Amino acid sequence: MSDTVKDSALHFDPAIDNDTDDINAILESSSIYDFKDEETDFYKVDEGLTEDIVKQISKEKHDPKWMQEFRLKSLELYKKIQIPDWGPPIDGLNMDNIVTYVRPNTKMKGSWDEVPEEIKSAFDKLGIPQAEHEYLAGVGAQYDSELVYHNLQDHVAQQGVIYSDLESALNGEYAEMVKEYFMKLVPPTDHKFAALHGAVWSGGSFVYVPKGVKVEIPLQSYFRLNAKGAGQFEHTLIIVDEGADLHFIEGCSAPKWNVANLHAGCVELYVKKNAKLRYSTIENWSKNMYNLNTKRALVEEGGRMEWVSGSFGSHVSYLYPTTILKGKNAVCDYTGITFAGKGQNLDTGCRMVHVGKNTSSLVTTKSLSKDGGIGTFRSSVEILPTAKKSKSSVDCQSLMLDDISRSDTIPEMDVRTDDCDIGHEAKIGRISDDAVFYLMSRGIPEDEARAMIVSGFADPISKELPLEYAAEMNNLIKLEMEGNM
Amino acid sequence: MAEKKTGFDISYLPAPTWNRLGVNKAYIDTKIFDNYKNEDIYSEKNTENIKVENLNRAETEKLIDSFSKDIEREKYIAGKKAIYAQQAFSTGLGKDYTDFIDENLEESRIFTIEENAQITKPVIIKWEFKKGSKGIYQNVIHAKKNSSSTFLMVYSSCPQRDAEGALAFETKIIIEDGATVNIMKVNLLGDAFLLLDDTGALLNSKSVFNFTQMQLGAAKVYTGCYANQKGDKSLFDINAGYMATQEHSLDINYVACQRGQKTESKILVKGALRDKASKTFKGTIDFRNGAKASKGDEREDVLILSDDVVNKTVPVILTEEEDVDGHHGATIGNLSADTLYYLATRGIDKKSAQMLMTRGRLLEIAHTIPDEETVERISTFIEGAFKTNE
Repeated sequence: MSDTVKDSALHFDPAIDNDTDDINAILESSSIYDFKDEETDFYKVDEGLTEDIVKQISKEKHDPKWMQEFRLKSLELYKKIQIPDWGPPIDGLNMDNIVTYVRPNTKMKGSWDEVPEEIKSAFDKLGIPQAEHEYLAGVGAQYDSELVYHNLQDHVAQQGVIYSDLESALNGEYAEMVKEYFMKLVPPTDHKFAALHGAVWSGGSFVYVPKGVKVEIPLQSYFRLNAKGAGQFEHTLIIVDEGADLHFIEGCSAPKWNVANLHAGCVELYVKKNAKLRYSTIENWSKNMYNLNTKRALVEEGGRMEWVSGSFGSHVSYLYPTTILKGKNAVCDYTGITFAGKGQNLDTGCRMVHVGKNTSSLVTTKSLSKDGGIGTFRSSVEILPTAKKSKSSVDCQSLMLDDISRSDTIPEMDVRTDDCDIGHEAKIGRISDDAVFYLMSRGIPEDEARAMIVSGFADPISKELPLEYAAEMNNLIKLEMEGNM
Repeated sequence: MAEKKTGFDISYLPAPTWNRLGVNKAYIDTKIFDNYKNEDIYSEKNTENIKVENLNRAETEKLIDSFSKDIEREKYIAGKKAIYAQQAFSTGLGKDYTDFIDENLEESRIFTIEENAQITKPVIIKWEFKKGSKGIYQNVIHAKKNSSSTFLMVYSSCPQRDAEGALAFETKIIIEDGATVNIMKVNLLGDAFLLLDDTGALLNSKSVFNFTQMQLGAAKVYTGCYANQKGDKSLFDINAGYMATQEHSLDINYVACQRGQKTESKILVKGALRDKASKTFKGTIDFRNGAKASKGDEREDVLILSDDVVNKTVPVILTEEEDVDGHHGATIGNLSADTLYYLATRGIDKKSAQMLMTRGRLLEIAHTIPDEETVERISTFIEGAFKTNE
């Protein structure tokens, strides 16, 4: 029985198995994120990945010469690097069927009123303009391959904070800074999908927070992939200069299609001396998405990096934010939750590299698996010989919600100095019958009791999110528990 | 033209992780075993109530197959494509290693414990190797229903501490319903030996497998133990200690595959690393669908005594059953400043303190070995290791 279930989860392939029960069930279900827009006069490149397509994208984006060369070198690397053999199967992803660039029929606007109605309507449904109005310092909204809206509140801009689309930065005042930092933390040689990103990246944000500036309320970028069979390859580059402080929120969603979509974004974060950056993500891609995203942070002396990550969507995910604690006394906290439901194989986790003296990392993760979903927590903590007096603690907890799902933890610790203190704890279990019975004895129906327990399990993560996002996450958990997603 | 490989991959992590970490598998070159000859001083003690015989290859495989033929071989492990060939009778070092043993050995040593036999005295098997020894050995222990037995296996090359050689061992254990088998393996080999030491056990209903291992000697060690807990209420307990010094390397792969209901596993590993030693410990608790009400617990405690060591720890839990309770943990660090200060105030310098703490944690395991002479040799061996590089 187990093999049947396991195989169905493994072999669900939206690109080729669109007559299976899995895909039907997924297509029949609906969520607030599952609405599709007509794309009548959008510009698209052909399906597949060739040198001509990469040149075409580069031309469309008015790349400087070095960037076009960079793209073509990345394409060569993509062709040479093998698909990873250690993670969830990605056989259903055929690059020959993926459209790597889709440009909406609008230029980027600084006012929602100027954004074409059909696109604005999509972001209205997602609550982005309202969120900007109520609690954000700036918003970038990407639709398919391009930013359609970007705005930064005046008082934040007056502090010298730069928040723009990456293309504008690449061709404007910050061109040299972009060139200095772009894909230096995540080089295209890193893995196959980093190389792919280097070849076809489009969209994304550039943020620079000057020395000593503290941005009191968060910035947010929202990525919406609407086009069927398309890929999104946005690049986020954030530099938080010495003593500065920023909270950046990333959101993403897409409608469900019966073919594979691909997200291979890249996030590079530079946290300078004594600076602080919190990077929060609620990922809710549709369940036909291959989410092969790469995120990495470099933290200098006394800097602090905080990751808050919620993974709910995608058919397959490979997502492991990496933090390099380069400077002495640098700190990183990683807090994450993954909820793998029907037809999902979510391989998530993190990597900590301790280079500087007296660096510390704290990892707290929660994982839930339900309805045949496969959740894997994968991590590595690497303590280099230079990282004297470093400390690391990893705590991962997994909850199995039925016996047709999978939950795995595959952590690794690589320690190369005697002067450190490293700890790891993990626990896998089920919802306690006693806890359910206790709640039921107080008049709470069983389904509700189980949902309450799961929400409690996720509580340490939701506490780390701004109130509105915590509410969204709790809502996602509730919907998953009801099986309505 | 590419050169022909003279070895193969062993010691697979059941669910692979990033290749760059170098823990998914290990490669061994077996060319060193060419023209091997089992020349050793071999002794067996306390075998009076046990049937001991040598069986040829076909007879040995027939015995093993008769207990493992119905075990499924999976295409997928932990939701990922298996990167290694599956075995019906799984061992820690894997299929290619078992094939290597089978291809090189004409016969195996078989120990059979009859039904209901309670063997109170431990069977003590000792190999004393000369400098330059090359040997390949396979033992099969067949514990019939409701029997109980203990086996102590000691590999040593003393007093030639710097002796070199290459040794390949495999122990397969069939534990029928209600039987208990205690296996204790002690490595006291010289500083230049290569040791490959593999164990696989098949646990039937209500059976118990206690595995104690002391890895103290040899330049390169690859060892593994895989317990296939097929039977309901079977128990598997590992209590292992290791010490690696100089430029020695140690690769350990322990797997508890819990298939039956109400099974329990416990993997407890303690060790110390010093000089330029390197160690990879892979410990996996694998709860299979159907292992309802099962428990698994795994812990490694590593003492790092020098700045040039490489310690890799990979504690894995794989779960495809809801009704299980699995834990793993690891602590890695040096002796605390408080401990060193306390000992210094009593006239014990840092190096002596390190030796005392290493010996203390390893003797805690060694004292479960029912052979005083072996325990004494372990103690002396640890002290000797700390004197080697003074």
